[in-house]
Amino acid sequence: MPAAAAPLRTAGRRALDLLVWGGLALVLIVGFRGAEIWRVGDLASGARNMATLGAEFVRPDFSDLGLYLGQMVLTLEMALWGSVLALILAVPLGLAGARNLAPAWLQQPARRLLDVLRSVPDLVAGALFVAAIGLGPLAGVLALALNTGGVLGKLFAEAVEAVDPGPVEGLRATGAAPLLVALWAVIPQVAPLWVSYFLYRFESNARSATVLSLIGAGGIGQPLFDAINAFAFDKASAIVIVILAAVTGVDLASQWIRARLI
Amino acid sequence: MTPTPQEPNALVVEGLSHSFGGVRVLRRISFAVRQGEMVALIGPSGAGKSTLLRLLAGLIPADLGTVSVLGEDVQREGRLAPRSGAVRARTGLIFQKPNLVGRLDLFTNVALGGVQALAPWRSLTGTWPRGLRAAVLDALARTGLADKAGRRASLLSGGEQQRGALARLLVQRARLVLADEPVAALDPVAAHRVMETLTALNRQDGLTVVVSLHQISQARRHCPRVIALSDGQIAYDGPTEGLDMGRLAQIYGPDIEAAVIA
Repeated sequence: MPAAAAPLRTAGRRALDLLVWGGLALVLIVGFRGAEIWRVGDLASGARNMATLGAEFVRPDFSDLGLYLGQMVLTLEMALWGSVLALILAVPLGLAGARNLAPAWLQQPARRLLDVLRSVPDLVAGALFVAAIGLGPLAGVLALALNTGGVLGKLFAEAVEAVDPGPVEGLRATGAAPLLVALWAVIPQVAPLWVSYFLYRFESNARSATVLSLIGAGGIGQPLFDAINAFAFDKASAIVIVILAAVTGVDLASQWIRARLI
Repeated sequence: MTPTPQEPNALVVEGLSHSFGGVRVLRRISFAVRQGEMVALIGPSGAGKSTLLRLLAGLIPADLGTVSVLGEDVQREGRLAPRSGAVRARTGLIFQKPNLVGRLDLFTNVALGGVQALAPWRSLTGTWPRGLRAAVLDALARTGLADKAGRRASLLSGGEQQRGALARLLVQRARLVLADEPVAALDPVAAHRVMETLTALNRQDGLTVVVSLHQISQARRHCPRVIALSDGQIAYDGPTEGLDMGRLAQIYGPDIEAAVIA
């Protein structure tokens, strides 16, 4: 049926654009004060402190290397288990949270649950778990698992929503039950993406686990924090180098796995 | 095998109407297809062929009217009738885009046709019983794909994938095939092989076939009966020989003569 040629941008559209961009500018200006961006000059005036710090950092003290390596391995173990527990959480929630697979009564609650899991930062969750089950790596592992589970679940659900519907409809049409359709038509399609997301989150958890140990969850962050507090920057430098090497190693390994799987 | 009037009906459609967003796509369609018939569904793009096939398959609920397949209701006046997996399995669907799972091999794809009838531990682990494996090999041989069993479906040609979908439908023990422009995306040779395979399933296995086609020559060559849709209504329903230029002009408009000759 013939439609009148509509103007590409109406006055209303333009007013809306102006409102959006103007609003964004306003938010940035207000935030300038709050975030103390005006203090950025202090970076220069503190140059001497920075120089002292830098000088210590170029002379790393590796005398406690054995301890650092042990703590680094512990940190990676935490990251690994946190990621695996997150995966166990994310697979069912990711399938249940996909609009094209689950009915609304299941999909909406699943998504909201993922929102909640994601909205609690792992540091906060870690502090809560330390209070609940005491100091130690398990508190960190659980904190990583919840937060990462929320993130992975959402990413998994979105990957499922983007699958080619053809094979799904095709298998559904053979009379296969929904669980079988998910297993045989959806998971093969999303598997490479899911693995990739999982590896990214594992890398990022290897970094997060370092920070988590600051709140008593064990791992390499504790000696790093102690060294900085004692102004032992040569030791801190050694620890940072160990962390850099480990995180780089994890990145390289997961890149290698990803390249082979996809 | 020409169906005799005594054959029971495979498909009965009564007063089927459907609209999308207030636009009537189908208007009070009624027809019946006897078991073992091979019927071409033709008509210009937008005439409602795909919608009709989706309604017959029970993929979407119709606004009005009833559809029953082999004596079981699919559509009941605006609602989808609840059907078990076994009943749904009796209708096989083929789309223009092959709907095999690309990352699985052809054998697995074809075996999935029988997955709804397996015990849960078998269907969840992909442990196919001997009978199913034999049925898969037989279906692959029937569709000329015996040497492709181990290939990933995504590496097969479009025509091979469509024949793979037909093999799956044999394993599924479908009695009615609804094919929505199965050869529109294929080159002439591949299209011919798919249509030949479909015809063989119709003749040798007694499968009832309703296939929408763009090429009138394919309808003429393979289908004894034609149902033509035009503007959401049945413009012709009868033997394919009755489709003369006058009738085609009523269905497709006056330019059809030049188009068919070209």
